[in-house]
Amino acid sequence: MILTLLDLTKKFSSLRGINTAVENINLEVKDREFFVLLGPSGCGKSTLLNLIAGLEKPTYGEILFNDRIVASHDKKIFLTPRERNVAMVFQNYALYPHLNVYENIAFPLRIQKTKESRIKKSVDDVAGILEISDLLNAKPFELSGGQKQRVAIARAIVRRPDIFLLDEPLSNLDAQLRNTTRTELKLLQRNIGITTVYVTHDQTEAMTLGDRIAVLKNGRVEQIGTTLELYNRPSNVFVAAFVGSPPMNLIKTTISEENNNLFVGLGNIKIRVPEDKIKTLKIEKAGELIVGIRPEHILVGRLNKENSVKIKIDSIESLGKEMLFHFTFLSQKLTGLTNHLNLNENELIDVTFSLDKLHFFQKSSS
Amino acid sequence: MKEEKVKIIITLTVAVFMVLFCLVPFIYMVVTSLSKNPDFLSLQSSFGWTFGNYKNIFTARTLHFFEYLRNSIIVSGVSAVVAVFIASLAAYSITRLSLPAKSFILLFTLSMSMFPQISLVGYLFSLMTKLGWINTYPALIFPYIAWILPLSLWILVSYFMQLPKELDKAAIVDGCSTWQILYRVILPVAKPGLFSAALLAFIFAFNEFMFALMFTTDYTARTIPVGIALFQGLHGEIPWGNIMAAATITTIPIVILVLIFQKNIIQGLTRGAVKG
Repeated sequence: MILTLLDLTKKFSSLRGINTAVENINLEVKDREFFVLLGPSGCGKSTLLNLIAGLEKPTYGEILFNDRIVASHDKKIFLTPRERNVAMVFQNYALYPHLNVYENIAFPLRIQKTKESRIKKSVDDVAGILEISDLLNAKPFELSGGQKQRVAIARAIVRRPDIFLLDEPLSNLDAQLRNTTRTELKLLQRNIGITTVYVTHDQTEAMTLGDRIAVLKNGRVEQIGTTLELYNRPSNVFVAAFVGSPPMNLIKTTISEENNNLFVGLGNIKIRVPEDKIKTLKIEKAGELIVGIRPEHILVGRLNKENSVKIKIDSIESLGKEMLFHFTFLSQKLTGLTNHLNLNENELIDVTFSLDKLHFFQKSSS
Repeated sequence: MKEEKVKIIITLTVAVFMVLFCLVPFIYMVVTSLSKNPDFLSLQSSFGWTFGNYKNIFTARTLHFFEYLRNSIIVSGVSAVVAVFIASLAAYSITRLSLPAKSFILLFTLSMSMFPQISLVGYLFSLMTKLGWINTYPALIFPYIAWILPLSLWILVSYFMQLPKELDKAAIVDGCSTWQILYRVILPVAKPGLFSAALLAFIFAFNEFMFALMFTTDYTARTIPVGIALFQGLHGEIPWGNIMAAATITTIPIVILVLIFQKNIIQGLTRGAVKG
């Protein structure tokens, strides 16, 4: 099932005025794709999911499942979630507390008035897939968080939905369980082959799960791409800072011109702004430019005379295999990532910037 | 250590005092009902145990004790069930559906229950007379439903608000219509709230006195509080023994109901106080 969003906008009017939750969203989710909506809280990602599910009516725009319009403001079409055949998993699982696990999973089938024998077979099948066959008689309050999560997923996939929607399904699990469930979820999605839209604020989840990711901010799409595209070629400061952990260092610099070339300075290091960036970012001859560098591209040691600076380490954070070191450079806080594990606080060291790994952003795009 | 002890002593003293304070009328009622000489004014009279009063109210046809009890249970039961049913629909639409002026509706309903009953009695009496309902169950059931509806509504609204909105969303996505959400998900989940609302409504109706006094004339519709109050002795004296025995028996259905649904009521009244 291909999911297409055309110019989708949702506004909520309240006493405090009109609040635009999502604005002019255009995107296409491919058949069987694992698509992630990533963004900080309040960016409209859950609203977008509700729009796809049919829990909210769009203010403008259209939603298409393959060629079928399921919601359109202009054509006055709005199909209910039931008619869309979508399934959804919620952050707090939303299991029916009065029903046992079997009845919870069977619930959507009972609403569809499926035959009892078919219900039994379907429930047993998905319970087997999710390894909860021994829990079928338990009530939700007897289950652990991970088990509830499995039941919620089982309830969602039992009726073979066309589109599978997940709203931060892992955020109530503890860290370890989250990792294992993440792997299983990815595998499950591959096996059942249902187009999936997954909402999260956790960039690690987004990067590990998503075939493609849409980064949202204030109801708008900032960038759509694969994990590597977002990581290696973030299109603006927001995506650069949001994707990747620890986040990218962003340094404010001033542009200077010399012999028809534009330069920015990192202290004594002079960096030529690449031609293609000047074009794509429409860089003026004067003004400010933000230079981004990922922590792993700040190398410890004086590897190169031109790119190195001497810094004093403010603080360190050991990650076991690697170490984060924080320092102040040009009165801005920067972070480096290294596998030299013998650094100390207040130590003076040389660091080298990998200039070929720099990112350039217009200030206005922040 | 010493402070601990003082604390315990104070707590116990206050608790004992509170319990005694609440229970003295009840104990007095039971003792009087078992007394041979239930004249509470004369301290000199000797005291003797007897079940005569109980025997009397069970056997004396003229007291119509069972008719009164039956009327009370029917009237209160029907009123409570209907009121809670209506209140659950109202609470659902107030908490879940997009409805204008929700808080106005809630406050308006509450203000209705603040009218003194006495101010309505006159009008209701003439209405019931015109309808020919005097001394019938509907004369009590309809006013009772209206009377206990605000209380039930407020209990249920606060209860429904505690239920996560995701439950509704999950039900919608699973294909439920609005009615199905209500009777397949919300009402079963809100069972403790429904029980506590129904029970409070029942007790409210069971204890009601003024309407029952005004709109009934004899044992065909008269409820137990009025019935007991109008017990007459043989020579016009007040038969305290019979009254107290009848009152004791009357508390039994309520006590049983409370004991059965105790867990539900406590859940219903305290839900949301702590995160479950």
